[in-house]
Amino acid sequence: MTRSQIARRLLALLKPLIPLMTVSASSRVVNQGLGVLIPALAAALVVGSTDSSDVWALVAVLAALSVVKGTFRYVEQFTGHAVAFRLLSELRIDAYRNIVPLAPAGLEDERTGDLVARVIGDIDRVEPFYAHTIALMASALLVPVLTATGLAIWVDPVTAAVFLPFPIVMVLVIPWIKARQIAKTSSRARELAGETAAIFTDSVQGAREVAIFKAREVVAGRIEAQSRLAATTKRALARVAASRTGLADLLAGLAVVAVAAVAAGRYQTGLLELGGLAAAVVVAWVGTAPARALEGIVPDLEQALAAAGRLFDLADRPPPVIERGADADSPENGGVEFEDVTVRFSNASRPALDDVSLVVPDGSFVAVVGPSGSGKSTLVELLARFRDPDDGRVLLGGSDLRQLSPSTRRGRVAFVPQRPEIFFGTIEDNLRLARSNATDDELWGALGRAALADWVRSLQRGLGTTTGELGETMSGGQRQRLAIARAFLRESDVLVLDEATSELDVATERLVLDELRQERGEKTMLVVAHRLESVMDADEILVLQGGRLVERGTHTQLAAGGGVYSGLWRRHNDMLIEST
Amino acid sequence: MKDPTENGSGSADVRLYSAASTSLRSSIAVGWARALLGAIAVLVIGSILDRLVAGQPVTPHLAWLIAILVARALLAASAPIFSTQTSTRVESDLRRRIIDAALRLGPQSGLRTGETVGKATEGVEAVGALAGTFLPQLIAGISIPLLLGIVVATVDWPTAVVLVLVLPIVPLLLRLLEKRFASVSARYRATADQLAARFLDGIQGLRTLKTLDRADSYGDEIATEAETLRSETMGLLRVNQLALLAVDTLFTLGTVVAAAVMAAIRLSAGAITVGEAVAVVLLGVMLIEPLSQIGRFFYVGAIGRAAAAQVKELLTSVPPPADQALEVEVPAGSICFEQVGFEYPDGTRALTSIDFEIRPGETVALVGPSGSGKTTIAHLVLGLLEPTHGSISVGGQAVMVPQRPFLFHGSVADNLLIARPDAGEDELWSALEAAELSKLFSERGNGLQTEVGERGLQLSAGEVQRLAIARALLVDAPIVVLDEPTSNVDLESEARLRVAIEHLTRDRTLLLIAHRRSTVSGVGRALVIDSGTLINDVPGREVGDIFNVTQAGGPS
Repeated sequence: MTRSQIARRLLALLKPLIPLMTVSASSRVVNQGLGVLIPALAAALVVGSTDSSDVWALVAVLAALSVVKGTFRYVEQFTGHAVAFRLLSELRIDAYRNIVPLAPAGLEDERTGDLVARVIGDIDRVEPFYAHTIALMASALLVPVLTATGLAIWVDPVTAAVFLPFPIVMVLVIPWIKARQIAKTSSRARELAGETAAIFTDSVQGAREVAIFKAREVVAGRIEAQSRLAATTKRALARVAASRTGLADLLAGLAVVAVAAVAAGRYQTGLLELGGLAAAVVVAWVGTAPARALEGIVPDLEQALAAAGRLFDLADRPPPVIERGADADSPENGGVEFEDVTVRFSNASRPALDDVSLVVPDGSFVAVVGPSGSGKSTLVELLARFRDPDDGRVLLGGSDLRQLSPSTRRGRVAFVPQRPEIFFGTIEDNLRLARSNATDDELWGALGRAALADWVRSLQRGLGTTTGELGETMSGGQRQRLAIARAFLRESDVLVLDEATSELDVATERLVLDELRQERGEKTMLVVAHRLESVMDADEILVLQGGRLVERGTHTQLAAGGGVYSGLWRRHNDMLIEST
Repeated sequence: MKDPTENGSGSADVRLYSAASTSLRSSIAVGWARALLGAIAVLVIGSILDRLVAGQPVTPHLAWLIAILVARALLAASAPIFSTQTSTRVESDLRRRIIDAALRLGPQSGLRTGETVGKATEGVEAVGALAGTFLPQLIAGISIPLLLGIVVATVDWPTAVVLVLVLPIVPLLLRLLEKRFASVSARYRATADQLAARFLDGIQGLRTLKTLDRADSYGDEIATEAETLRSETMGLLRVNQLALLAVDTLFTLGTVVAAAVMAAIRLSAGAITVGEAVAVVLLGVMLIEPLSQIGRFFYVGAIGRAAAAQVKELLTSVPPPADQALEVEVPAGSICFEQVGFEYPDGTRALTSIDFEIRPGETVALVGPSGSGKTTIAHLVLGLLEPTHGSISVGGQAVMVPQRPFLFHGSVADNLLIARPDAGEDELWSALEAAELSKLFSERGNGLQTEVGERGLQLSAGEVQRLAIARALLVDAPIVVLDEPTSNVDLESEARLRVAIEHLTRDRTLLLIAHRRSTVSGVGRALVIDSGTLINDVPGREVGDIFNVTQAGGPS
């Protein structure tokens, strides 16, 4: 995306706020204009005053103008910030809404640190574009023209003509000097900031290994190398800024000299009064400032454009799964079918799932087992439509999942991952995510079935305890049980558990699984098993290896079969000491 | 020079800008020099007017004016250079100190990664901007008016007296404005941070939200909250920006108008010339400049200060290095625990009075239910934790391969060099060879430069384990701690892993955190831990019975 495209998109967001922005910009023009007028008038009046009674008139005029100037400053700032805060808030909301369709498959290649840097840091960088750029541009263009006009009318047109080219060059030429380099270096600076965040995240998460290998210096060295790269980029920006600022300052100085020289000549030839001469010199001294301000904001502006570019890039990504607005088919029951399903990940040498076909009849309890990396999670995640198969179809009650709207699908399939996310808020909030209108009895019922009711009762504030208070004291097992309680509240046709009880101790897991078994016959259950003995009584066990369905049958058939499953079973019987 | 932002930071004074004191001083000096040259230019303009009134030639004065203004432009050009020097130095220095602090606080610090990273990136950039841009302007802005007062005194001392009387309102109003703005921006930051946290929560939990069909309604909640934040902020701004109105008005009144009035009075009294009167008016204008500069960057200052406070808090939270107990010389490869107890800072007791001795070359298993204290013992051996009671003697360095090793984003070589930064390529390859990985990396990808992905996600669980073993092999440590490394991999990987482990543990003392019966069956001795105490020390021939022992020891 080019800078002008980015700027156009940012401006398009501004459209409904144009009236407010106009108020801000015109207030700035008045404020800045008075900033030139007040000293010029002061100089003219001082030089022209002959007796001390004039002093009080002078005070009255200048004081009144000062109050007007201050008021317009207030209006400019207030309306400018009103626009900026409204648009930043919209950008934040949009950023979230744009990311939603990408998750989770479309975000797998993102480094978490960098993603967070985009949605939080980059949006902050966009602020100057709205709050400090547009009004400033307006005043940089208009105030010099108004100043020259005033000078021509009240003082001398020739002096005005000498003055005007200086601010015009400041507005039209200086901001474009090396602008391309600033743009390039600015986006590099934003990229480096994202990388730094990612390296930091990585280093802090690896703190244990850093300590084991006494590698604090090595890690600090990596961070320092990154800082050096960032410093080099910023120094390059500073050198460009130096040449531009120096040039602008030089032009401001030359404006004073040129106006003074010409006005002096006009005074000597009697074409200009002393008061006019004083006013002209003062105008030359203060009158280029509004135009100069434009050059100063260019680096911020470029940063804003670079940051916005990164946001738009995320927003424009095609979602991995295209959801339908309405159902084109209606599932007959809760049966699940995989038809010749193949899934390939872009960076893998072999498919994650290779031509897998299987049927899970309505109301049955089917387990999926296999070594890590065999494709178990990929298989069940297809039911939540985290991604679509590259070949083949996934059917729910006879309907292709792609023919169903997301709300229909999610209403029928409840999915519990191995690492469920618990949200900031109360335990009740977390439960109600599953069903917002559940009664308290239903909440407690679900907690009871997930073997979590006793624990919640033991908390001082019960359901009202916030997850923030619990923080790290909430164990992995408690998190998993909370997620299972959520699944109970969903009342879906199909329940998918992806190693959802892996962090529960054996006794608790047994309690929870017994509760689940009571739904047998009513709900279709597809369970990726962590411990084989928890699914021994499944109607069917599917064994995956290397993305292929290699064995299927009941526990008794498979354990005696001498294949992959019987190997896993032998290894499993080499019991975990801990789980006694 | 006393830095005004370092006031009141408490006893543990952490200096945030020490890395950049030279460039910071240069920035302030440039500000002063520019103001001084500006004042001289204004006096020259005054004398040009006087000479015109007197009918004298002005060409040499115009030449002087050009020279002064060119010098002033050169100074202006140097400002961004110094400012960037300051901010980049402060940023590099603080990043280094933050990573050092975070790593010193260690894996058990309870720091949330996201917060630390936020401080090290956005936070540090805000502090850099504060030091590079706002601070020199603030200091120059407070001192320059005095400098200009002196220049006015050379023209007419009564005018100087009046302006000097008006002048204290400059720093006073700056203070007032800053306080007002700071409260707004602190409030805004706090609510914005809350929103950001909610945001993060939502993005990280998006998978769950989507499966519960709540992603859209969560978006609505974010929208409502963002809207509340916005209207709340605007409400505050409406009131607080009134200060801006007052300040802008008072400033113009206090400087330009005061200067003009004095110039008019003194001119009509015949005390100063016309040119001097105009010069006084222009000097009055110059008095406003610091305000408008500081005003422009006020948000930089306010946000920078909030960030600086957070960074300081992190840096001061690092405890001073513990007093090194007298090292008792013990033979390389031996481990000796005497009456060792360990309590976490919150008072939770993890270990009570543990006593054991391991001789060089022994293979010892740590057995016990989860949460019994096995990992704590391992971390004490590694020196990741310090005992709160008793003493530990370890002969030489210990190295550990955890159950789920962490791989850093980067190449295979990057991950190996963490263990020994000066290792040569040959050494890296022979470590990979011993870990049964050399074939994999020489055939697949780019050899040592093969990328492992974020947290090693490009490799299988077994490959991650073996790379961690190769890494441990590079450390010439007489003691190895293994946390049941085979529990997480498939059957084929397990065979390779066993070979790698054998290479790693040969001729070294091995402390094995055991979860399985088969792991224990090979060891020479087992220490049985339960609830933080050593309940049994089982010699080699009885190790087969351990399973029954732990069962008797009760469930976890």
